[in-house]
Amino acid sequence: MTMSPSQQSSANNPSVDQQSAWAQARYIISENVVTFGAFLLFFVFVLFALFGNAIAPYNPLTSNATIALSPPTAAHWFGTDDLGRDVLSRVIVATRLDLGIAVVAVALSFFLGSILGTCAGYLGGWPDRIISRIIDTIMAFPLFILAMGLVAALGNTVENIIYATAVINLPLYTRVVRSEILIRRDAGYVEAARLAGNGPLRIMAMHLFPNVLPVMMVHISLNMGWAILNAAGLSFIGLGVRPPTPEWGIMVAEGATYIVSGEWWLAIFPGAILMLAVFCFNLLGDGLRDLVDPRMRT
Amino acid sequence: MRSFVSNNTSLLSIRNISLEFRTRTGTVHALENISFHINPGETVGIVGESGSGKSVLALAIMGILDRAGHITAGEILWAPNSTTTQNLLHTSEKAFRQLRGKELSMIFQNPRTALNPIRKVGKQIADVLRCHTSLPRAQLKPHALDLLSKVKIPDPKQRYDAYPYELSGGLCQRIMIALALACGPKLLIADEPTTGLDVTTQATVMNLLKDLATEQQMATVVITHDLALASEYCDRILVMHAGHLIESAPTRHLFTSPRHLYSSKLYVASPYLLISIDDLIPIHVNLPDLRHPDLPPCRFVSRCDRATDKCHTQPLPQIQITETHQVSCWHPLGRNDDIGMMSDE
Amino acid sequence: MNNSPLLQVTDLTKYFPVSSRKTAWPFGKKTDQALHAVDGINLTIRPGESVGLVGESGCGKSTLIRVISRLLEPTSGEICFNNTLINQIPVSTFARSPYRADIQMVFQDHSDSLNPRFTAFHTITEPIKRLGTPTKILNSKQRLKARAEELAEQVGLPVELLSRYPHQLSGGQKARVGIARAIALNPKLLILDEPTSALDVSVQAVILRLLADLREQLNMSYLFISHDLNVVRLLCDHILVMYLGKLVETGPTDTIFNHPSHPYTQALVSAIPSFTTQPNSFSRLSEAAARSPIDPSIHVCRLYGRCPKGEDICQQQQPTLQPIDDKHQVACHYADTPT
Repeated sequence: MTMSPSQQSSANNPSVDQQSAWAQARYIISENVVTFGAFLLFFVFVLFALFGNAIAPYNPLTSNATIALSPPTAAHWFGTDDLGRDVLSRVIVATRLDLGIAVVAVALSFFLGSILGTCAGYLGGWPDRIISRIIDTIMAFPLFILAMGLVAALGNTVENIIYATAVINLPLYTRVVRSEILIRRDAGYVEAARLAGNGPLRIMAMHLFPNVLPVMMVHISLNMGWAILNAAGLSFIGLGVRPPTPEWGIMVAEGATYIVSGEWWLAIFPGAILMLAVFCFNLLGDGLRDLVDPRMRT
Repeated sequence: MRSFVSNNTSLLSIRNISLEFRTRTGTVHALENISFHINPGETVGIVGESGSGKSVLALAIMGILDRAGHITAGEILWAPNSTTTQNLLHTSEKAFRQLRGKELSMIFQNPRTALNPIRKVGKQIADVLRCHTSLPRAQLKPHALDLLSKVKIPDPKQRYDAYPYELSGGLCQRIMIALALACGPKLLIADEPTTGLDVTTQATVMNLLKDLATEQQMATVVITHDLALASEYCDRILVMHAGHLIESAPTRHLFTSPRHLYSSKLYVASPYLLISIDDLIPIHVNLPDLRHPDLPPCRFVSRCDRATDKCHTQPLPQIQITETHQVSCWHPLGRNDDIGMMSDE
Repeated sequence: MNNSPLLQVTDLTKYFPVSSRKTAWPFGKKTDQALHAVDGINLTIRPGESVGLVGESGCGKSTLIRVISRLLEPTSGEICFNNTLINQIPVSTFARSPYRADIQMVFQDHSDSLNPRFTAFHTITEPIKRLGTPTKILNSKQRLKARAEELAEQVGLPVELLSRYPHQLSGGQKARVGIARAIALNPKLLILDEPTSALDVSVQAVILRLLADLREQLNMSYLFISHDLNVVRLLCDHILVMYLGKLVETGPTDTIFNHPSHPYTQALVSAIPSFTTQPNSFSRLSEAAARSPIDPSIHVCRLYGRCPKGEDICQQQQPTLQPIDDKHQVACHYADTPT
């Protein structure tokens, strides 16, 4: 009930906090240098994904047997692989595929999981029981094995990797959204929404879900990191993406055999970039939540 | 800890305390030049609106201020007996922990959240006993049960094993009182002890506090925004406004002849005295922003219709109306030829 | 003036099923019990009248108002609003019925009752957008803005605060937003669920004055819930005292305040802190726990055990509301009769 002194003061002083969204974003970024760094890195990755082919110094598919397996030099920053292809170029171009798979898979599971979770949480009763049992069934399987099984059953294509990743990712969103909705279901503003003439659908979509969104932002970002790893992992074991398409997982797989013989750069560089991408998304989640949740704007 | 012989009979002396909070959006001058004392065994009420600084004052006394809070001036002298005095601000955290719960206790506003939700309430009382007394383990439970019946909890044996969520608000508040009084402290600070409780429960809790205080000869500080509550249960009332202590008087005097405009306005804004809704006169205009770097010396000027130039420029005086009644105002209400005008400069 | 009541509640009950097992599954037999939250309430509110409903927490007043405002289905009983039996309209479709706009509510916890992601403007205009008649939504953006500003002025909310989020508003400002939202469609009946109990005493005064002024301006009826008799005294013409799901005393405000007859009402009145009374002078209820609302006996008076009075007849025959005076009713075998 009692307001902190700064809260009460801001209630009386509009000039202090009625800044534009841009000014606030700038302020938050300046407060968190690490988040800012993650943002920059994210933009770099997006650039690579969109313009990879133009940025890459060499054609990722051109092989040149004469310079195969050469270590990092001025001409080839990341060295060359067993077929003489420039590792740097391949790493840059691979960004599009890895990021693309992750984004689509996460978007799919977020969309479907949110709908299922909101219905289960708000409506309760039979919808909740049915949805929860389906999710429990999915979770009963070791998820990676399930993904492998799905890809093997549906066919070895990139689309199927996306679907498989989305399916095994579904429980996370459904459960998180369901529990967040459960927390807020009996809040005063939900009753007020009913008094204002809102039906259950509107309440779920316009009143409840927007409050769950900030929490989901963090989950989405963390999840992206996981999705990238998942896609790379499936490719690592030979499912989905096929050579010669450059993809971080495949590159690590192919380069693994060469580590023993001393050609470390084939596996290390793709692996390092993979790690950097996951790291970047993890940091991003926190920063995103600061921007999206109005309560953090003080 | 400095000890020296003191001829001061006060249990707790607050002298010229100023406190600020350093936040992202500026420094909040939460308290300025607060001075008062508490005598052993008396019940003092601290009354004020939200944001007046009363809770923050309590936290400062107990040494549990937020990290952002800094006491910039003054001292808090604690004199549990006539031979030792210590400045609580210079007491180390380790030494303070010996005091907290044992000699100085506090109960909080929302009793259910102040109790550990996953620990049985009886056990929580036993914890306090174990921490501050040298009772053998076998004695802890009987002592705790004894305390539970002292705070008039029906069926203490059964309630010992209850969790906070199983108890009503009133019962939780009594558990908190039992926790606070377990080691017989000399001073109890009650921060809004009855907010959120029903009117009948409020009365029972306050009566309980009053009875226990008399029995254990304990001084009580009751912090509340409810002037009627303070008037009924406290011997003396301190009125706070925007971080200033503006008036302090025995309850009867404050009720019959308030000298600060704010105190009199508080009475008229309270629903208890009034016959009809038309008698209710709210205090309009909001509290000043305490982050403002150039606050006027009297923070009530914007809400005061008696303010003059003096009020905008001169620092607040401390005018002694009677030996026990003080007011911080250049133009106090009532007769102007009062005895003993004493400025604090 | 139209004398037919705006709201007439007859024999309203609401029971919540509570199942319990004496011993762990699968050995114990599962017994179905019911929590009698509201147990046979009759009340009447006339157009323009302000009725106060007083009782401690757990007495069922929150459940009662949620049944009346059609957020919950009653177990039995009738709710007649504006000569229509609205209890026959199921809760799930009530949001679309024409009566939805006429019964609105102001909540106790102002922070909880505002959607943290809605600006004050959005919160206030939501009922208008959902329930306003087509002519009101015509020229939607300008009219909506104008209406929101009009409402803000009516409740004393500075217009520039309309673009703020709840966490940027003080307690009193949030209360005003809640009130503006509730009166946006000029409801005939406004139910107020302890609207000032979470506010500072000084802010309470402002909000109470506001509510009194609004009632006159908009000619609404109030059903004002509180556990604080003093607040109810200032705003209400008629008071109902509720205990454990039943009404124990009803009457005009002055009568209840000056001549309470039921022991529970007497305890409530004397528990109010005042500047003049001394502590410990109030007529006390005993420290015993209240009776359980789960499957209460139909023979025993609900207050028996806590009541300062209490004889054998109180255990054998439950008292019912009997008139002891014009408009004054008490449910007690030993009610104090007016001198």
